[in-house]
Amino acid sequence: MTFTQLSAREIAQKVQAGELKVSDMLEASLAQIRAVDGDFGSLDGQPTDPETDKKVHAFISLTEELAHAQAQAVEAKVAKGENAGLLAGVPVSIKDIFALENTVTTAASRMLNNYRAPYTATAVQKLIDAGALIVGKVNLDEFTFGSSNESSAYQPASNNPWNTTYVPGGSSGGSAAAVAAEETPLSLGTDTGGSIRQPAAFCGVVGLKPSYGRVSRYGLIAFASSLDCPGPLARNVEDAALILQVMAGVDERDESSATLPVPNYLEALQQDVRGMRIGLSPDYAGIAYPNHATGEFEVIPVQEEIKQATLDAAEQLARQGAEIVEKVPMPHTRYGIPVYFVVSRIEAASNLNRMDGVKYGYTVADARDLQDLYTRTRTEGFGLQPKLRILMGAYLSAASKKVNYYQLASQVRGMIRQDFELAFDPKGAYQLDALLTPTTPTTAFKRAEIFGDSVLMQYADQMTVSVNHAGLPAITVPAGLDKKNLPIGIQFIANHFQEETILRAAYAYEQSTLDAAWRKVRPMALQEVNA
Amino acid sequence: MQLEKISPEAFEKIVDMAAFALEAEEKAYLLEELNHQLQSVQELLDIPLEESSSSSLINIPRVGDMPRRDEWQAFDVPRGIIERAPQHEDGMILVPEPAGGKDLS
Repeated sequence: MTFTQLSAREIAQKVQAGELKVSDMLEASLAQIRAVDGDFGSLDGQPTDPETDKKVHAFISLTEELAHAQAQAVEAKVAKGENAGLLAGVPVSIKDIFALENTVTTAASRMLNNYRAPYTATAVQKLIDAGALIVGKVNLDEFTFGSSNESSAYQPASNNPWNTTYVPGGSSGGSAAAVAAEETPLSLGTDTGGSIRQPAAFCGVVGLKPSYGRVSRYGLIAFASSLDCPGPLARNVEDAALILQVMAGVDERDESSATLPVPNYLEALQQDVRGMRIGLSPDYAGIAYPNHATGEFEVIPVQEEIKQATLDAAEQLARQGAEIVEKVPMPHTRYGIPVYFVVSRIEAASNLNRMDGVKYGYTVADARDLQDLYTRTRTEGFGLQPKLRILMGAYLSAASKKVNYYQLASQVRGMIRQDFELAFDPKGAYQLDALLTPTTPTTAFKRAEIFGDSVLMQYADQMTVSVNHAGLPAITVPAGLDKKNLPIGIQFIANHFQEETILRAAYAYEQSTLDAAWRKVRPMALQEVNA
Repeated sequence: MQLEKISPEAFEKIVDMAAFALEAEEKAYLLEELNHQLQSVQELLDIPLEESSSSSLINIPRVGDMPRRDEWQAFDVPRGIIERAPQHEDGMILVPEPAGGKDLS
C-alpha cells in the first residue's frame, strides 16, 4: 500500500506516533496529483498534455507553500510530543468556493478570477487547526451551478477517475475526483441540492451532507443561503466521521449555525445496527421528469443495478439486526426539483447581485458610466449557467407576478419536510431511524451527454434535493459497480442532527461489504499509477 | 390550465433587470431553457396545499445562547477588503459616474 492509499485516520495516527513523516505524506500527495491530474483548470484553458482526456483535472490551483508550512508546524508539534490534531498531516483539497486567506478563490468563475480572499472560511480554519495540510483548490461547476462540473469556466473540467470520458458529477466534482483518484484522502465540498452526494456516488466515494446548521457557512461563497451546506468527501465512512468531528459546531460568525453539542461521531461507529429501523420508499423508485415535447410528466425508473444495490444493502443490514420497513410513503419527493427551481434560483439571483465589478473580482476597463460597468462586467464575468439561474430567479421573484412563487415553493417545501417528520416520528406509523434510498437515478453520464439541458441535468438531483429542503443529514456510500464499471451509490437519511445514525448505518453496510469483489476494482485513471 | 410562458418581451425586461447584454444565440438558448424550467415549476400550482402547510424555514435547534448577540462587529482589517476592490483610493472604492452624471445619493 502506498501513502496515498492510507485513510485519513491511518495517516493521522501514524504521524502522531512518529511512524510517518508529514513531509513524506505531503510529497506523496503532490506526486499523485502530478501523476494523474494533468492540466489544472484555467480560464480559456487549452490542453498542453496529449493525454489530457485520460487525466482527472480535479484541481484549479495548488497551495504548496501553505501546505509545506502547515506540514512543518505539524512536525514540530509531533517532535515536542504535543497533540498534533485529529487530522495531523492529512492532505485535504478544498472546493474552490471556500475562502482561504490570501489565496485566489474563484468559484470556478471568470467573475472571481482575480479575487484573493481576505479571510479564511471557518470550516477550512478548523481543518487547519486540526493539523490538516491544505494542498489546493479543486474545480466545480461555476458558482456551484450544475451537476456535472462541465459549467466551470476553468477548463478542462474534472473527469471521472473511473472512466475519464464520463463526468464526475457536480457541483463538488473536483472534490469527488480528487478523493477517488487518491490525490487527497479528504476533500471539503458543499451540498445545496445534492452537490456532495451525487458526485461522491458517481466517483465511488463517501459523501456526507450534514444537517443545515451543523457546519458553519462562514466564508462559503453563497449559492442558496437556506440550502447550502458544507460537508466532506472521503474514501471511507470512518474518515467522513473524523472530518465531521473536526468541522462541526457553533460559529459566532454564522448565525444559522446550531448551538447543539457535537457528539463523538467516531464512537458512534462502534455501535451496531441491531434494532435500527431502516425504511425503503416506493417514492424513490424513479424520477418524474417533464417531457418538453409532450408537456406530460414521465416517470423514469431508477437504473436497475442501482435499485438492486439498494435492496441488497437493506438485506445486508437486516442480517445484522436492523429492521427493514418497506413502503414508507414520501409523496412529496417528486416536487423536490420544482421547489428547488424556485427557491435556489431566487436565492442565487439575490446572492449574485453583489457581483457588479465594483467591490471585488472581475471588472471591465473604461466603463462609460456606472450602468455600463455593471452590465459589461456581469455579461463578460458570468458564464451561461449562472446567467440562466439569475434570470430564472429574477423572473420568478418579479413583484408584478400573480403567483408568489417563493411563498408557494416554501409551502411545498414544508410538505416535503412533513414527509420526513412522519417517517421519523418516534410515535408514528413508521418510527424510522433512517431512510435508505438510491443516491442517484443513474450512474455517471458521458461528458456532453446532458450538458445544456438544464432541466434534465437538474432532475438528476431528485433523490438528493429533498434532504436539502428539509435541512436533514444524509450520507452516500459506494455500493457496487454497474456493467460499465461505473460506481453506484446508496444514501442513508436521518432526522435533524442525527449524523451518528447515518454514520452507524453506512459504516455497518461498508464493513459488511469490505470483501466484495467490486471493492477490489480500481478506477481507470489509477490503473497505471501505483498499480 | 394554460401554462404560463415567458414572452420575448418579458424576457428582455428581466435581462435588463439582471444587467446583461446578450447575443442573439445566448438569448434563444436562455429563453428556451427558462420556459422548460417554468414548465416544471408550474407543477407546483396543481398541488392542493394543506391548511397546516406553513412556509418552511429550517428549524435550527438552539441550546443556551445564540452564537452571538446581533451586534455589529468591525472586521479586523477593513483595508484588506477595500484593497480587493478593482478601483480604490485612500481607503475608498472608486466607481464611474452614473449615466448622465446624475447624483444617485
